[in-house]
Amino acid sequence: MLIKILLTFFFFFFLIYSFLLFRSSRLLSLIVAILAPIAAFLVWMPEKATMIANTLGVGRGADLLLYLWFLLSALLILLLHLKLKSYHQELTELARYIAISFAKPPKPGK
Amino acid sequence: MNDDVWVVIAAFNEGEVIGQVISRLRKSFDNIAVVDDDSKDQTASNSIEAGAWVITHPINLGQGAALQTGIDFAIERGAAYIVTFDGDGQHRPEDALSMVERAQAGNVDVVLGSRFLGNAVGIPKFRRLILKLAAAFTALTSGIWLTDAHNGLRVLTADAAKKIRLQQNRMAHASELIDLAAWLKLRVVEHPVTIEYTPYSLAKGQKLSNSISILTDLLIAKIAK
Repeated sequence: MLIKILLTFFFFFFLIYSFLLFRSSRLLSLIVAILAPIAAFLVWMPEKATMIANTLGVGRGADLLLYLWFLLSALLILLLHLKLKSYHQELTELARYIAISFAKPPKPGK
Repeated sequence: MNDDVWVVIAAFNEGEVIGQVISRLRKSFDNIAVVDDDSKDQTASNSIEAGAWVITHPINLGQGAALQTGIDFAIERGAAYIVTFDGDGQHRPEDALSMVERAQAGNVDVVLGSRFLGNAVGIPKFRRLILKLAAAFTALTSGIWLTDAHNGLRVLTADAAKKIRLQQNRMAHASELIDLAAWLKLRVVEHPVTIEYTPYSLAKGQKLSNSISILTDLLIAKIAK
């Protein structure tokens, strides 16, 4: 019972977090806002999770959640990677701007 | 003397030889820009001493990023032709000069140096094989068949240089440049050049392990597009 209450609180905070996410990424915010209540529902109704899992050809509800969790993490890592790449590109542009602004001329007479 | 030509050298810890490389170039070219990629040695001061402009990256970004910085700087200074030249002394200034003349003759946007049309003095067999494989790989991705896809000696017209923006900061920029040239439908020709392999340039040059990370960089770029 205790784990169910803890998980529910956890998903509730996730739901709040999704509203905060809205400004930076609407898509991600929406995904979290939809998934958090579903996850909480499945925690309290594990037999429903198993039912859905069976329809999809997965044995247990817990396994289905595991697969979904893995997919989501992989997606998140990819998003982070792309974000990091774009930050690095911005950093490059900044460094380039600084470098060109402080270009040093050759020694006179050379 | 070649007022509208800028020679761009991307240099990282080349203090030992950069002064000599610049002095040799200065006999044919007035405008030389060394992009010092946050070197820890005397690269910057030796370059200024030898008669080059120095643009220093505040942090190390890689050879591709350094070349792009140099190209931006050269365009800002009104270059009509941009030469990219290696800082380790393996290229010959006379080859750069004849490539500039080839570009000035017209009907071409990019002139690429080829050591396999010309001479690769002292090239180890294994390196020749790797370079041939790299050229085949570039041909597959870009559709441009070259004898030598990874030669640092190139001449770009200003118009071509303005269109090309290198996003590959590290070593994958050589393939990237050719991919971009193909995509932009630029007119590319190869020109025979001589590469002089010295113990110094071999020690500083690309290793097999690097080609794997170059492939990874290119692959990620294709996925991320």
